[in-house]
Amino acid sequence: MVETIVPVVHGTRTWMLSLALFTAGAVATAGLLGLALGAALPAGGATVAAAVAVFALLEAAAELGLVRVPLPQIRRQVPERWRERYPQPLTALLYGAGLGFGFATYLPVATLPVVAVGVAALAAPASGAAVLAAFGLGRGVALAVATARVRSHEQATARIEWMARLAGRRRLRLANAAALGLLGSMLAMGAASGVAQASGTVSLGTQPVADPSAGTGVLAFDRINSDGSLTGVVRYNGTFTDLPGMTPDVSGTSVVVDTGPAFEILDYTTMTVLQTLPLKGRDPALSGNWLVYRRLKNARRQIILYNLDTGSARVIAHSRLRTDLGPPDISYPRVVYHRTTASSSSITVYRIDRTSARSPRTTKIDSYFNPSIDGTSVIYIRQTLQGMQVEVMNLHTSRSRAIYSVNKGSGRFLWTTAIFGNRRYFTVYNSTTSSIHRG
Amino acid sequence: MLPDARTPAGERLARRLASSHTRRGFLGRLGAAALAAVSGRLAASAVSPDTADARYYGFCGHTYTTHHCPSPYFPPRIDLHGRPLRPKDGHRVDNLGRLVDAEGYVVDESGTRLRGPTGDLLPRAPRTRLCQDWVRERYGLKAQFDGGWYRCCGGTIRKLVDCCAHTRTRINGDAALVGYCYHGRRVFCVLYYQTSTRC
Repeated sequence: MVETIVPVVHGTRTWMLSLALFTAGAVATAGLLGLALGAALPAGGATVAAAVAVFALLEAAAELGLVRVPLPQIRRQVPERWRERYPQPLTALLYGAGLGFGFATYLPVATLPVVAVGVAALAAPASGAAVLAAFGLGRGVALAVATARVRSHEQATARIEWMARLAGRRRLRLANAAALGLLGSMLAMGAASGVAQASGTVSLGTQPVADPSAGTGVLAFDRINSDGSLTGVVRYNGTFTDLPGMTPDVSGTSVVVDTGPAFEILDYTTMTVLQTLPLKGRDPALSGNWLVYRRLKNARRQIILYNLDTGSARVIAHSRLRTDLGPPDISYPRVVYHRTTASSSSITVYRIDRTSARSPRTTKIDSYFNPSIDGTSVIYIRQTLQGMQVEVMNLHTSRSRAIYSVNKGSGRFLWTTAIFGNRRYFTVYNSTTSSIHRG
Repeated sequence: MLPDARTPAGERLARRLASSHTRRGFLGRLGAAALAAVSGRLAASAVSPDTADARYYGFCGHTYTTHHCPSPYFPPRIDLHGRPLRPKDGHRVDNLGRLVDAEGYVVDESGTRLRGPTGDLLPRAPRTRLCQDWVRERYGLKAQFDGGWYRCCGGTIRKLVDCCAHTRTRINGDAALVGYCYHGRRVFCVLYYQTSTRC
């Protein structure tokens, strides 16, 4: 293949064009592969990072000849007939696209499979595309080195043999083993610290955003306008639509927003208003026929549960003004909210069907806040003297694990959360902007 | 892997390492640097001979060996009830070391409540007693104030308070002293209260 793209017959200009097209093809398909892998699985936490670390170390051992691990590859060369059928630049583009995919040809080392598994297990789609695009770029650089200033086909063959000698005597495998060992060690250390920083910023435009809420194929959030006001936005089927209120919360195909004088429930697939509720309060959350929100009344903070079928409401939590009674979230039959007083901070779960509440997390030292719930999974922020963490708790076991953290003094802080199945979202902000991450 | 100094086990290890080194020894300083790198400021403060001498082993002519209680600030200054204060000016702070107003909400130096990116107030944090509440949650010890020492410090009386518990091991990781503790309790850690009484 390399002998095809040499500046021998067609001259330097065609060679440069072919090289550029080869690189473009390789970067494009490698990037698409990374995008697909990143989107294939939700970004995992510490356990997944540990599993990828084990895989990397296993492949490093394989590179050293200590163990035998088969590589997923199609041991075929690029079709030779293409260079007879198509002009050289087009052939170069096709070759680049084929080789950029990586797995469709012979794989001399195990680096690509490890990186691909790491991208699928730990990275967001955009990050995955960037990582594997670098692999495609590497293919282009290798071709440039192999063919630059070559004046004859014999010289091209000699250059290739020289590169093969350079990589020979196990040097290539030793270098790859070292790289994989380093990667595995770093992932293992990250996993051992209990927090895998595997998360990516969700691309939602250039303006600051916060307050995520997720559903099947939909993400709602607040856009923070330049005057500090909030506008609810829903992203559905890749289209962004402004909502007539703020602090949106998604349930099924419905979204509820706070318009100021009322709460409005809309069908976000058609943007038709389903219901307008003239209720005084803020931070509404929806689950089926249940709405939950918080309000101030009679110098008390209250969390209200509202039945959309019957129109009846009841207070499920209340406190003095000096108590921080946080914004509620609902996933029938549970409502979750935080309560922080001078003496403790807790995450409280209220059962609608049992009309009882319990606090699976309580501390007298740290601060818990802004929880969200889906089924029996609760995501919340924990703030300690050392920094802030996004934690996910299983209500069956009452065990939590951190999926993201920022250190004190980093200038970054954590804010609101959302959870839907394995998709976890949280707001990260600093002094100038605010973004939504998926972890 | 080294225990994290943010955990009681890690903190004890850090303090044990600190006390086992010659104060001005090279290895001690090297250990301090390494621990500071992996364990944060608490471990570093315990190991560093210079800052430890200045902050924990003596003030206003009084020398002592028991380390301070866990706290957002060092040395841990408390109010009448044992809750944290900022050492330099005695302003009330929450458990995360942030300035707070009388309602417990986070404020800046001018007293304005701080808000998050969406305009809501920053969530508040508890402001609990460093001896009774923090020691109990972190170390599982039921601790209380028994006695203390008084010294003239900066023109007013400063009280070094013993935080006492039924334990044979103090926060340093070595044997706890009886100090000014009663009924079988021993000194687990110390704090201070700065009075306004002139001396």
